[in-house]
Amino acid sequence: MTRTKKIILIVVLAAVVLAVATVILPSVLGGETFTVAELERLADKDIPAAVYLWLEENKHSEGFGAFYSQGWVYLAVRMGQRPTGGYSVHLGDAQANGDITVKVHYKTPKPWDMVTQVITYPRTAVKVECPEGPPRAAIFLSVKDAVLAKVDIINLDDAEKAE
Amino acid sequence: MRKLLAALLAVLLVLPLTVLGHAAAAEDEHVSVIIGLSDAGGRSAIALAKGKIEREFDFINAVQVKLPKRAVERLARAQGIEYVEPDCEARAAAQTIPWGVERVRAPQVHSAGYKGNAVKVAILDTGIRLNHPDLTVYGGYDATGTGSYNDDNGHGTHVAGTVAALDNTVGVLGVAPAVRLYSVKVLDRNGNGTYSDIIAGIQWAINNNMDIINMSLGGSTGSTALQNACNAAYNAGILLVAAAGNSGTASGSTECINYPARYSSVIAVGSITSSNTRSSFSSTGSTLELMAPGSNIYSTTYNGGYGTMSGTSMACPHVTGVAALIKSVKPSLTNVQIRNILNATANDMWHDPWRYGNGLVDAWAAYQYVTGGSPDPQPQTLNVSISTNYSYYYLYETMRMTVTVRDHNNALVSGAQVNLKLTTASGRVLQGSGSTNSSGTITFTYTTTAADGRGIYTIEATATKGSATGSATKTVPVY
Repeated sequence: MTRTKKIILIVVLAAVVLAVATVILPSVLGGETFTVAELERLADKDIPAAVYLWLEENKHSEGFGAFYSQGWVYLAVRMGQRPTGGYSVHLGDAQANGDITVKVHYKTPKPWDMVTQVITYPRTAVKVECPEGPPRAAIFLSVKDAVLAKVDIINLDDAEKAE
Repeated sequence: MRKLLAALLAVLLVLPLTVLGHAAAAEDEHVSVIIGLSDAGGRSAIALAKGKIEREFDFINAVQVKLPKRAVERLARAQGIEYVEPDCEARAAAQTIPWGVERVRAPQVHSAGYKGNAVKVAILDTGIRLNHPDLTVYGGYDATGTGSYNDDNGHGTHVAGTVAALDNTVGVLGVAPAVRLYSVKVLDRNGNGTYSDIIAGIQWAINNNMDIINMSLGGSTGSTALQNACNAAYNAGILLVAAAGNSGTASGSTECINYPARYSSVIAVGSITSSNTRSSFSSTGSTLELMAPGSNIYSTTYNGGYGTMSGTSMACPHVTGVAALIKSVKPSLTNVQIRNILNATANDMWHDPWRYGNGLVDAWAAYQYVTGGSPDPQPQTLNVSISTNYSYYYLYETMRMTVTVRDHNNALVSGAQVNLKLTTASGRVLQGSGSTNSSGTITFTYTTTAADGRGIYTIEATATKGSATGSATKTVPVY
């Protein structure tokens, strides 16, 4: 084998290793890596009723929702129906600048995980302080910054005034 | 004459609804809520929202209020209001026998005097809610490092209730309500665990002389260490029962039994619906051993109440409970003997081992086998299902409850005698009966009333034609 061929072979092998490490392994090992600061998941009792209803009424389907009330934006994500336990969704790195963006991290069971064999409906809701008023829209991003959804923010205070 | 009486009963069930239906129009869209007050401004806010205070709870500074439904959201944010909660009672008003417990014919064995007494059952799961009023936990072990074998997920408590919910006047009845229940926590709050946690749980079960291990869990890859641990427990005389897995496909043609259920030392349990068909999620394959109810199973929840879950996780504890019943009938039986008995007496109405194993576990047939009673003929089963026009109701709305009856070949059955029992949230029991029409169905109607209350309503239907019988149960919430 010539020296050039050896170099080409090494480069190809290195590329394969890199691809496995960055693309294939994360998906096999149960989702993407989430390195940003995670927002604290709200307990059900701390979720406004309208947001809770949004989460529960369509729990079988995936969805993204954003709500504003009294200086806070509530960001909610439904993962839809899943066949087992071990699934969860996490939000982090929220930034408000006209729109509000937030990163979404889905955790899925790894092949060797032992999980409950029950149908589940993973979901989460967090809140972000926005004292300047409601942002224009909420943009949900993957951990690799791909746009998963852009949704209008439902102003619960306006709904209250309309009553 | 019998048909005339049946028709009269059906009319009596319907009549109150028709009358109350007119009242509903006047009070439509009103709901009952409990409101916590933080200061005097709260009462003004309630008045502005056109709410009517029905009861005062001074000791917690709260009131029960009836108000327009659309005002609830607004009121929740009003000054002086600490919280607004629906006045919805989630607990059952009397002991309910879940459809799965009936379907495996456990109550018949209870009536014979056997409820699993002194049989030690380890639930390897997310823990068990230790202070649930319908469960007694005798001990346990935490392999996850949380420092407690209390449940912080809910799955383990639901599973435990199907095995062992107490025979009392509240909640639900378990398959073997007198077993000694042990909480072995091997899964975390997300329902996730490792091989080593499961192995540690199995080791604890061996060291503490458990009779049965229930594992409503699984994974898609095997482990030599886990297999060895299961084999060691089996050789130590413990019966191991595990969920076959929720990896099934609609056609049911793939080999997808999970581990540890796939190991030969473990009974793999698949799930059926109340219509006696395989749950679409239920894993299939050559190592599938027994079937049990797993869709829409009503059992204990970790908040101290009751709720419905689906999965082979829910089927697994039915088999565990039946095994415990048989062990209590004849304590000298070994784990291998009990396993053989359950397999030999299962109701194989499908003859499709790939999708249904040896059939539906049958406590009464196993009991007859053990006690040497007369050979138990395979019961002729009617598949009964209940559908409602809505999945939930508000007060004064009308429920239409349609009962459909099919035979073991899934053909619609006309002329089957159907008895319907509706237990309201307040505990009132309404009954009606009639015969299925040429489409194999009969419909009953009922309009909810304030007196019957908000909460869970339980609909139970039994159908009979000749010697064939079947039953179904459905719960619907009324808000």
